[in-house]
Amino acid sequence: MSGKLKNWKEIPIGGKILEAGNSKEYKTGDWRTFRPLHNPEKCTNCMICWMICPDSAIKVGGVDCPAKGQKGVSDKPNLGNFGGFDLDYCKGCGVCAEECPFKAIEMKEEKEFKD
Amino acid sequence: MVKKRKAFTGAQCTAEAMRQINPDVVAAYPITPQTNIMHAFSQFVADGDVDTEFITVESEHSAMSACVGSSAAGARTMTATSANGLALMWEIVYIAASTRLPIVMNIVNRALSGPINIHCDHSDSMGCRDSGWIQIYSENGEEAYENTIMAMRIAEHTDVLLPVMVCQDGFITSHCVETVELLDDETVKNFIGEYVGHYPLLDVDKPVTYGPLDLFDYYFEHKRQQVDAMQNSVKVIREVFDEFGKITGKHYDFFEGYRLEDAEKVIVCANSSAGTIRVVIDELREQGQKVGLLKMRVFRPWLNDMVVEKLRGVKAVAVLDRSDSFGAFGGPLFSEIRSSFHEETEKPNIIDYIYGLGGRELDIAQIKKVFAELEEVKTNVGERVRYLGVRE
Amino acid sequence: MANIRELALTGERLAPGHRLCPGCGLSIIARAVMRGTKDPIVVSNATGCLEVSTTIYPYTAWNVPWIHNAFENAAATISGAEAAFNVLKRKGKITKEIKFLAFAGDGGTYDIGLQSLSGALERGHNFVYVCLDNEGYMNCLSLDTLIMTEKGLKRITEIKVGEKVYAFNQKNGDLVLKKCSGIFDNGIKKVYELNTLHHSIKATSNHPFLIVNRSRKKKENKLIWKKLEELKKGDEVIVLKKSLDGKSHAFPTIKLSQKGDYKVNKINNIKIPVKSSPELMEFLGLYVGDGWVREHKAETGFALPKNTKGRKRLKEVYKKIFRKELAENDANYMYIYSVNVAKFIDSLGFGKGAKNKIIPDWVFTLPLKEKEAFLNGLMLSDGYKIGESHRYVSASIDLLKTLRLLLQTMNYQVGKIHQQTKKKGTYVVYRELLEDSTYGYICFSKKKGADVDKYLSQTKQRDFLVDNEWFSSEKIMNIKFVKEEPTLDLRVEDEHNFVADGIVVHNTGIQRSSSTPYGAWTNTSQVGKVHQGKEQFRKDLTAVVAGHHIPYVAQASPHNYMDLVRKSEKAFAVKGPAFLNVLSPCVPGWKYPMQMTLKMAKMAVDTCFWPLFEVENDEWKLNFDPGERKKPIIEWLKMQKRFRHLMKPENAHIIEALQANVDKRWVNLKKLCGKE
Repeated sequence: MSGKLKNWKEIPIGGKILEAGNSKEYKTGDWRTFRPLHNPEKCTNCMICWMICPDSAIKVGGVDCPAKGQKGVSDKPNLGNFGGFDLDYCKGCGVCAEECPFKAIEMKEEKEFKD
Repeated sequence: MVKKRKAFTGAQCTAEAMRQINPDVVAAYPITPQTNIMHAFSQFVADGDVDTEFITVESEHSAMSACVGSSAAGARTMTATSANGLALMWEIVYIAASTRLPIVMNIVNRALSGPINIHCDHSDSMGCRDSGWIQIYSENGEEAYENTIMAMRIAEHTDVLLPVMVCQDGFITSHCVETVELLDDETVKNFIGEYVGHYPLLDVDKPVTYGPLDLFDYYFEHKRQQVDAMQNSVKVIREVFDEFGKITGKHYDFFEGYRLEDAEKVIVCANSSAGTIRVVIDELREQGQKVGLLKMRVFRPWLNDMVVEKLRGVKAVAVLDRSDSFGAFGGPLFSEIRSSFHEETEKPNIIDYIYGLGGRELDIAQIKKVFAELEEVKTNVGERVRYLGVRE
Repeated sequence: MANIRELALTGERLAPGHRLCPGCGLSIIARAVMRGTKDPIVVSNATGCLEVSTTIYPYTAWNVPWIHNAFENAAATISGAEAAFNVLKRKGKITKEIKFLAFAGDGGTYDIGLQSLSGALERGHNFVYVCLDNEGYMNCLSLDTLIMTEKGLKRITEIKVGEKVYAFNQKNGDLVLKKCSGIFDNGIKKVYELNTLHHSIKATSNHPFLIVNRSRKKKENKLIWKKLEELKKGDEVIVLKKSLDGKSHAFPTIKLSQKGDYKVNKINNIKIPVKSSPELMEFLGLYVGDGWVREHKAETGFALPKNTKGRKRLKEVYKKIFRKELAENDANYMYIYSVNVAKFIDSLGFGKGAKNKIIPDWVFTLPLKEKEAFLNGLMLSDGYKIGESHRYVSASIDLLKTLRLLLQTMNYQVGKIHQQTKKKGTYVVYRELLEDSTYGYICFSKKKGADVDKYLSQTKQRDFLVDNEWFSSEKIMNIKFVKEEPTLDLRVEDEHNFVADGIVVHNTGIQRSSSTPYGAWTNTSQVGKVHQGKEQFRKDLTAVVAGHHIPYVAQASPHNYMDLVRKSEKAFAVKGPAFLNVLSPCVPGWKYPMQMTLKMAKMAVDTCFWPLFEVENDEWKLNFDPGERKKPIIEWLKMQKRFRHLMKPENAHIIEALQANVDKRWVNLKKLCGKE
């Protein structure tokens, strides 16, 4: 948890939380022991990984994503493309790697990365 | 403002108040003796006299749960129950207060089981005096009507935003016909105004989360806010009492005295017994006894100062508790009155009478007995907690 | 219906940053269900994993209006909100179309929430109710627990499945190595600290410990498992005496700098050690206490003033290791100028700064002699002796924690970690503090053994593991509440226990609901001598709901996500109540590797344990029939450790009964759907 604890006058009444989705301030990325790695060669942008990620940690690239022009990337508007892993939140569960039909995601041990 | 005279039961008065308030949502489950309120209100719904969405839930627990959902959504919400119905919704009653939802609920006081008893005592509403709800007691049908209307204003005030419980005696008030003077629809409508929710769920452009998980780092702060709200409500209640008093021409207060001016012996009580006691007081006064009554209207928030003020100079006080707290020293009203006097150097001798449990009647003879015993208590307290009307 | 790639552009109603377990089925399902409508949604959520993990004050993961009321009333609460919407819409105060959604677990739906659901369905409110069925009321060790593994002490968060950990062989009392068969995130729980004289462990209140149950007849003292909440001061828990004597550690090769490398124009000819030795360990002990590395300056430094024992010893061991003389250039400091020595030391895992040094795992695997040498080096830097007692001071609490454990494996008695703050200028271990410091210290001394041979029967009575090589028992000094923390747990094959923080602890668990399958282990349907898991077949709640004759009822699975979204769309589209029952595999509750969540759901469908079907206006329709490829239920059971007891031959009849029940229900379902 970040920041100082607020006193009773500083918080909304009734236990209400007024900032929707502020869990984004809580980065669960440090839970990982495995990190997903994307293989753009095999990826067809089917977006199944995005669909099933429990942590909404697959970023969605739009039509103007850098991978445009590559295999599987559509030039049709209104289609999402694979936009990378959001490592601030990815907990390394590996469901994406397990479910990817093209084996385009591999899980590697976190300690193999310098950052 | 036009007043109309009616011969109504307490239940009919309450239903009439609800009709005039015209709440957005009512979610209720039947339980004697609250049933008549809901029967009358159902008829209003069926006839299109109200715009209310009436949710006939499958239990009192669901009744309060639906009220929480509705009030959080931003709708003006009301309900009513008694005894075990209140006990069943106990968990959610606390949640309604801590979520700061201005729900108004009528409690038709009835004894808590066991053994099962459908008649009047105050064990139900006294049982949840710690829940964070504002509690207002009504002597008769007309007061139940007035308190319900005022409760709506008190609950919805932005400095308060707490649910309010309006109590009336089961059967004695709810099922007995009295002549009452009620207000016209327009006056009531103007008095309570429009309801604007506080961060309602239905304001989907500004999504809010209600009921998060508090760990030990924030729960206490949220509770402290409830204390603050209760403290704010004192001022708000007084303002509402005064404003409404100008309309009806009556005087409303947290505690109302009857012939207290030079009283030496006073009975303190709540709800319908006050009426019976007034009759005895008038008779005894004729005989030269200096007796008086202090009727409690608002139990939560409790005003120490007013109690001390009103009972200044009194020599002996008998508190009539229509409920008991097993294992405590006396009933709840007695404990609070005694505690109010703790710091005072001059205080009356205060004793407690537990009476009327399970609808046991309080009659003239018993009240006279109380005043007679109080004579002795002026100089010698004797037994502090007594039981009135039980066969020993 | 939109395809996945179109759905991907519809934004996120459930934000990341929630604290559900990695691999949890609940958020996969919640995200999919909320894609069933484009309209704004108001969500009512019963108490449960989803509610708790997504709204820990002051954070919320919900980007939609959301209300949690209590455990059993999600349906009643949403009824109230829906009624409010109806009346306010009628009055013209709201013009938008808003949808109403209730989420609840199997607890809040099958059990305590059934009444509320039934009432809401009967009243015909326009809402969607989604039951997230993970087949139990799901809930360990706190995340900084250290576990004894084959390769040394590791934090519980670093243990991998398949790794071997030390466990207590309950039959003969030996220390044995067993494979870790699973690691589970138990979420945030109340954590307590159990303290004995020499050991300390943090655990949740339902965590079992192995304790000595003394009987009146001394010969019948035995070991039993008791939960932390049942333990009290004075109970004797089984603790580790010492670990196996190890062997010298061979260092992994690191890339050394060569002459000619970028910015390297001079290389000292220094031979980097390939394995540990007593001298090297003493050198490293000195480093941990007084040293630092500045790789960019190719500098390894030691704060050892002239004429101290430390400096003298440093020179001696340096000579032995590197076969060179170490120059004395400074009155207060000693320097080694070598880019490769700096790289080498840095690679060993001791850490860099004064406040975050630590003893890495590999040190625990060393022979006693080398450990003693390491200790010597440490004591020469920040330690001192008072009589028979040694004391070590450090600003790094992690260092003290690991040192404490190391000392226990060397047969020392160690006290707990004390913390102090001293002002700038105070003398600490013969040196003046440069600024105000908070640091800690521990006291320790060599254990004196009992004269076992002479007084065997008496000592055995007092300490009945006295002649056990690895384990002894220690009295609990106190158990105190620490805080609410994220907790993890391990599953160890065969022995059902492992050694954590030096104390022997048990695997943990979860409670049964009416949705828990027949035969499953849970914490309230335990596997024991008389009963073998849950003895009732699970409730068919979907059929109960269908009995309310609401417009739409369906069973779905997260593995077939597009089917789930389609069903959600239908549910939101109908006028009146709609109900979705979705199977949600649970990593710690069902006990399986976290990446297998969707495969777990698929197998439940393939075995017809969890059929996919719809009931639209009382017409039953089967969505998926595996036909010839229907798998036997054992295929699903064997994927989960909560059924492992059923794999024993004597429990085959339970699997048979379960298979028969699954088959019967499947045949009946097919009949209802008009398929024979």
